[in-house]
Amino acid sequence: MSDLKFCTVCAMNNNRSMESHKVLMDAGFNVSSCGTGSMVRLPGPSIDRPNVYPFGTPYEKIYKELMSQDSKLYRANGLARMLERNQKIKLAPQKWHEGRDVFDFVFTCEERCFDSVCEDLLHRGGNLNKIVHVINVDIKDDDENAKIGGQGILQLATMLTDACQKGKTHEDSVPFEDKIMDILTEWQEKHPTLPLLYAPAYY
Amino acid sequence: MSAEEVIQGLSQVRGMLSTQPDTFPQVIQAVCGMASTTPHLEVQQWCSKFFVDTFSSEFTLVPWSTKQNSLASLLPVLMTLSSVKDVYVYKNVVLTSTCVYDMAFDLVAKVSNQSIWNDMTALKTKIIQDWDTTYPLTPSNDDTDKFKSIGSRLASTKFISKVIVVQSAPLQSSDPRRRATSASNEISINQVHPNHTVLNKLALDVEAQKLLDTITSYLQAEEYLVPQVLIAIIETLVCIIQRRKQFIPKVFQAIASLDLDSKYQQSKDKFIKFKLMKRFVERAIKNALNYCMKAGLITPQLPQNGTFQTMVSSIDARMAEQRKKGILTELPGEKARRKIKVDPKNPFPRDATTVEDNSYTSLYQLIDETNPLLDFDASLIPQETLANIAIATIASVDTNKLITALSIVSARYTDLITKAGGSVLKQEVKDEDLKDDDLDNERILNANDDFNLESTFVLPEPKPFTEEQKKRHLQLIINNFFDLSKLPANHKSISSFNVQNEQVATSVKVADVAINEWGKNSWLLLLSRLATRGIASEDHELGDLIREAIYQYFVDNIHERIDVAIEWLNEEWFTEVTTNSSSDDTSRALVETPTYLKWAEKVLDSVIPFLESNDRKIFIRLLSDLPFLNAHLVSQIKSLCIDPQRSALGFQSLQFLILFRPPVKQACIEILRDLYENNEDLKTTTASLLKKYDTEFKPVDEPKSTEDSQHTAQSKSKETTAESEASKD
Repeated sequence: MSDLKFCTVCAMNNNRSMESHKVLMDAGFNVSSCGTGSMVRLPGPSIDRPNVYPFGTPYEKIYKELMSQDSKLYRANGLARMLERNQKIKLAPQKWHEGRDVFDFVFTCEERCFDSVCEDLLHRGGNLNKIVHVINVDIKDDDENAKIGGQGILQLATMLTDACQKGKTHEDSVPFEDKIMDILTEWQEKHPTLPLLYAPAYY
Repeated sequence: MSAEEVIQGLSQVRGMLSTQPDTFPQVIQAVCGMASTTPHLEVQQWCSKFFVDTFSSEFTLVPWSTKQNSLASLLPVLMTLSSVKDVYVYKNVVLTSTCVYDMAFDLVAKVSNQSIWNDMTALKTKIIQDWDTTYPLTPSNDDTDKFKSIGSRLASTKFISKVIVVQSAPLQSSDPRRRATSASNEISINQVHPNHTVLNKLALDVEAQKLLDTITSYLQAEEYLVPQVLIAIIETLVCIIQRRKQFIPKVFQAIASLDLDSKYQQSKDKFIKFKLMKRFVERAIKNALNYCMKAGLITPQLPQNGTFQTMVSSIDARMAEQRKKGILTELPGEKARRKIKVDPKNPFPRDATTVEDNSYTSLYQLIDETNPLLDFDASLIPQETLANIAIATIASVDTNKLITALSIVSARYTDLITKAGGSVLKQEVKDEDLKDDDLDNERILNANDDFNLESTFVLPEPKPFTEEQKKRHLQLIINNFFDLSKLPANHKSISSFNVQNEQVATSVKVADVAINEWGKNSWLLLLSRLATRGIASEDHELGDLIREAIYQYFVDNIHERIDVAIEWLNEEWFTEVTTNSSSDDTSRALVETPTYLKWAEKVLDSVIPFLESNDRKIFIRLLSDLPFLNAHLVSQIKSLCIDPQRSALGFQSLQFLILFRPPVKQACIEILRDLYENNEDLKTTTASLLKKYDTEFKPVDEPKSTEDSQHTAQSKSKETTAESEASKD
């Protein structure tokens, strides 16, 4: 596998980014994940009573708390399964704005998150002089769409890595950055319901 | 040693850095040595990546000053690597140069090291020169060049922004939190003494301004939409103005005048790709502007503030619409923009300056091989005409274009002569030849004595439109009218036409026109006049095209457009009555109005099935305002009477017609009689009406069921309301 570094980003770093994190990780990519929200908000017993945690609260802790609260409810709405999965991937949800890792590709799962990442990169001032490609794949925040979106992101990541590799070894005479628009177009035509956004940016 | 072995060794050396950061100078020496001598591309790539990783401020294991001290070994190696024809290597070289530019600047400012500055300047010059080129890839001299080596372009844009920041002075009032950031951020031209032995402060400052001009002007000047470069420039500009507030006016002016709609796509690209590119750039603009607003860089006092607000909201609106309709759906106004390749410096498709053979074609041909003109045999044209065409062309041709063309041809001559061994050059020009030439010229001039551009060139009359073309154009006109009807009444294209505002309003003649104040429905009057009086007299079929359009417009919203139908049908009837009756005919004999009847029937046909019991007002309005009714038209009301849901409406209409439109009274009574005789359910209702209005009515035995009497009572009460309402209408 290549030395490219990926990051998946959604609002809470629980559902969409974690599903994509898992999918990319299972496929052998070097991947991290994070969220752009201010706090981790998970569904609670009613719509006006969400469970709110600061970023950095371990998934295991959240899981235990929720299970003691109402295990039946959280089993039924899939939250328990989601947190069980997340515990196996990493310790705790991470906040994008606090992260200082440098990635080659950032996949956001919602336009709001894409904007947040792009604006944050501008705010950082680009002092590290590194290029990052930020791509948004718009995914609805539910179980099924997170799975569909995760597969879509995997396909994109595979296509991009392949292009990077071939460009680097001159197996293909076109360097990767010159192909990225074609890759995105091809992918978009196959996934017309997941509208893309893309911006090259600087760390 | 194979590339893999070298890389393995280098990786081990690199590994040392994490445990023993103080070995940095030795590690750099080793990698630099390998980078400048290795023949393997993989090794060069590895080294370039190593440089960018270790010299970036992300790599904090080694102090900044230690890195700075390695510059003397690094810079020459970067220069060597920059000539490797590989985007990956070049990109890393440029990014490394970006990382070290301030280090080098700082060092030279302090210790006046000429050699380091020479190396850095050489690198800088190369990167800036190749910024908007395909380097390190070879150009193919077509529109694909703009989209080549994007990686290098991204890196070079970043490099240029770094040079701009370093070579310009920060304003004093910078944010104290920013002042606290690492020393590397603060390196600027302020450090340079005006009489510095190595650094020319003024020249550096001017260079920074020039570079800023270069990248800002790209936003407008580049005619192709290259999303990555546009986005990169916008992002780096935002980073520049965060540090150098004095550039705010220039940067925002450039962003405000960026017009994506004027940019072209690569000719081979699919439309969807172009559309995505535009979408991406728009989003980047929006994010950059939003960030600048949040960061206080865009203030309400900024001249472009309003423009930016509009830009952001229109981008938002477009994105929302796209999201709603699906990314692959084409939105109105979206279209591909392919450029027909014309190089402004050389507008000729075939511009080779060499000849393939010694044919005239080879010498003079400037048009494309695929141009159909090539098959045209110019010798078929009479010589005199040909001469005139040539003279007229030369008289009107753009001088620069002519010079370019001539220089291409002359270069081909030179080439031909060289290929022929230069013998032509040596040939002496004999006097006789010159005399012959003069004679020839004289002959041509004499032959053209009677030359007169106007008399010799007669453009053929254009062919008259075919019926099909006429229809197409009329359809365009009709569509324009309907577009007009959708504009709000106070739209300037409507309100600007207002005869009363004109001086001529005082003239009695003008006051008599049909439309002297352009209103919401004036277009309709124009259209119906066009159908009935304008075109119709010449061509019935074309008139029907307009009628059909008005009719469709009416049918689209019967309930609100009844006025439209009435106004139009009145026009129809009036025209037919005036044209079909002879001028001296004062008799009241019925004039034939077949067109009116045809369309009135169509209108009734379309109205009646959609009427509901509470549509009484509009239907009776229609019946009362139609200029002419006959038995056939009236008979359509019968279907209403039969429909149990709407029979009250039917009978009210008949009663209205009996009371207020005497010419069809008899026809209405006939309908009632027919219903009375053939429809058991309606017997009571019809009988009561017939009793009232039909003097000859003799009821057959009346049924006396309770149900029926209820029905009668109901319809009686309805009748009374109908009468009173009808008289109101």
